[in-house]
Amino acid sequence: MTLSIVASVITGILGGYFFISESFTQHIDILIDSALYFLIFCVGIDIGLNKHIFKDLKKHSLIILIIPTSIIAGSLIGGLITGYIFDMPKNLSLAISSGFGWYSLSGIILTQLHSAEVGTIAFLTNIFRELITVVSIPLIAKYLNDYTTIAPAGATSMDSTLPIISKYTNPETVVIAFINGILLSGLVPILVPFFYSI
Amino acid sequence: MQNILISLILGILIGCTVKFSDKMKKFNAVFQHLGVILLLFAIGITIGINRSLLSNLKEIGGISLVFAVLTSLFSILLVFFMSRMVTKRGNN
Repeated sequence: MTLSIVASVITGILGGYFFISESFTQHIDILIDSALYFLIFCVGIDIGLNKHIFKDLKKHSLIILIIPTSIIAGSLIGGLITGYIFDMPKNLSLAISSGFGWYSLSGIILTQLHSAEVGTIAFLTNIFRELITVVSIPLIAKYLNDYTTIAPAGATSMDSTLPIISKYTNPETVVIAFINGILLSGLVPILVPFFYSI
Repeated sequence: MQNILISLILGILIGCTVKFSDKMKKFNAVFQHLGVILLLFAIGITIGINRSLLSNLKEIGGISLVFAVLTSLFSILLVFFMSRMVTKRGNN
């Protein structure tokens, strides 16, 4: 499965580069949205078939808080270290790292607030983060634990990477991942400008 | 965001109300597998199609990659240790 995941991304990149013109972007976006809604629908069926997880969620209220908090802290620590390595101002490195994988939004916000260059760094950072997520989820589920698959996914754990989390973990983790994704997605438009302004 | 919520809720309602045979559950899993592959292929195309992104890759690709690796890595480490601590305490 990991191999088929990596192969489909790479085939897509090569296909996009060599065979498809930029004017097709809109059609591809429609394809992505349709595939995503269909997948989330299938994930929903999985959750519905396991109704008991909603009752169990009360038991896990602590973990629902701890996961997004740890992702935020971990991302900011990683961002600060990267900023230190490349001699970048702290406010910029913190703002870039608080995109939490949501590339379209953090890229746009930072392009508007600072420059196209920093916006592109934020955009690329989150694209790479999503690729790392896709590749690492199967390994994390195997060697660490199910909850940790949500960590690299960040804000994307409610949409694009949710089906992959679902594939390698269980319906309970999927519900927690979804809640985590909503919380982090809500925080991106607040934290990116906040850290930029300090 | 809205459409995602609608798709999810629709799926949950169907999962809660319709009785699924084992064969249908298997179909659901196969659909998810194919869907994931299609989705990632399409995401790959959007990266490959974006010429300006690729031309910038040499200059800022390195910084972005380090950002991505370190933010992911520290998130993974913190979530792993914190979740282990909480679940262990819960078990005790």
